[in-house]
Amino acid sequence: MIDALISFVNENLGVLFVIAIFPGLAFILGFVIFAVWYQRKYLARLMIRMGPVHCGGRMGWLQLIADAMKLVAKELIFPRAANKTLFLFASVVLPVIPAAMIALIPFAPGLIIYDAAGVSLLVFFAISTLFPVVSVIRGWAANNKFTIIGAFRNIYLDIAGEIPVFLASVGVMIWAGTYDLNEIVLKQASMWFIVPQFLGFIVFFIGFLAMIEKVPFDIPTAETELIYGPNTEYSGAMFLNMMEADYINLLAWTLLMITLYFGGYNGPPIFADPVLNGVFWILLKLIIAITIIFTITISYARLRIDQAVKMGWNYLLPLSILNILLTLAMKFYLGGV
Amino acid sequence: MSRESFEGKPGLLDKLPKPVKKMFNWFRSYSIWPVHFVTGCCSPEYMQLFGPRYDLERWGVLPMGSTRQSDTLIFVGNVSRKMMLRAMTLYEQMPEPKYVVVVGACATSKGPFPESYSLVRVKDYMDVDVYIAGCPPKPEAQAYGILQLRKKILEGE
Repeated sequence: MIDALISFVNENLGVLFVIAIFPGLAFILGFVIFAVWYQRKYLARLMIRMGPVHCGGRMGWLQLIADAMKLVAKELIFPRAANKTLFLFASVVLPVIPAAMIALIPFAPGLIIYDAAGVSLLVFFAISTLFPVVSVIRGWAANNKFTIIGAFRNIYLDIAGEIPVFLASVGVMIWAGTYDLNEIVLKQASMWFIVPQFLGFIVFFIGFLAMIEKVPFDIPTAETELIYGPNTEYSGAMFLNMMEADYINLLAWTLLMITLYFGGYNGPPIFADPVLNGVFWILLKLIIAITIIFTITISYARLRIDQAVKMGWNYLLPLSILNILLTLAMKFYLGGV
Repeated sequence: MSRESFEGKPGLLDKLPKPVKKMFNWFRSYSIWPVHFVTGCCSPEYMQLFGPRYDLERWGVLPMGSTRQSDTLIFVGNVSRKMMLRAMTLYEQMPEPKYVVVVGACATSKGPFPESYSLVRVKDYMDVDVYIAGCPPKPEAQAYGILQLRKKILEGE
């Protein structure tokens, strides 16, 4: 039994490494810890504060571990009126969905968890549509008016943001001529797609902010109106799972944006040096992207839900269709890549 | 309402060996998430704690908007009989382990209104961990009080 296990591990070392360590579990959890710590430090610096300092000596690097361990050690409260099975189910399943989306992103030539045979972009979008469904389940199961209102806002916002995002990436699909994220990255070696797809990128970016539910669109978890939106009733380790789900969602969509518009694991075309290609560039782009997202987070006020839905349907959707027409015309006259 | 009705039962964590308990106390002491119950004029001083000058986030104190995720209930200002009912609801919504901090003279001992028909003392209704004196207490006094709570958690009381 144990020998069989050891030989299985030895034979599949590469696959297990990819699943468990680098683009897989350890990287995702490490990113969540890093991103929350980085957000707290960075936002504090922008407010002329210090942020976490004392926990763990330098820079408060143990702060997130302390928070997580404290939440794990806290009491789990199941409200009396809640549907306890679904309540627990949603909190366990929600972080898995964005983590499954990350499995389709190429991190370096050949470094990808699941290569979806030429349709990985479509599979990514298919998985991403599960997120609001489970979000509604968590809101409904808690049986609290704040969670239900938050869950419905989540659905409105996700549909208003999702459709422009999908249609904006149709522009990329037409320009690259493929659904495969790996091939889309390979075709950006000479020019990143943000240049030919600039209108599409703007639409994608605004829809993307709605998908990750950060501050201009943190409408579902509006702290001043709904206490904590769909997460209101979650305590202890279940709340920890919810926070993880939010940040893994941020990671998945940011990686998709980098892959579609900023060349994925390719370096800038000016340095045509293949040595650094791969993990270094995608991580550098990731840190720059989350810095920009956190800056937006602290600079803007929250939109109302009707404003956000109106923006999605009245402005982003026509712009994304215009982008498809423009891309078709460019492909017809310029010949594409 | 008696004080016993709020005391929690011993959980799984109380049966753990001492070093593990000590470790959890260390983590808890660095991660106090307060929810503040503002009924009076100590709150402008309280808000300073999370501004640039006093910045309690250096010790991991993070103000939360929701009781389900928070540890500490902070009474800021005078508490009347009616508001005490709401405060007790908030206290019951918080998961164990939870702490109570009372800020200012009104909530501690009715302060300048000893003859009042409606004000109550918080300590008659729930176990209070830290009292912060003053009318209103200065932000540094409140920061000192919350750090005293940290010390208390660290020592495992």
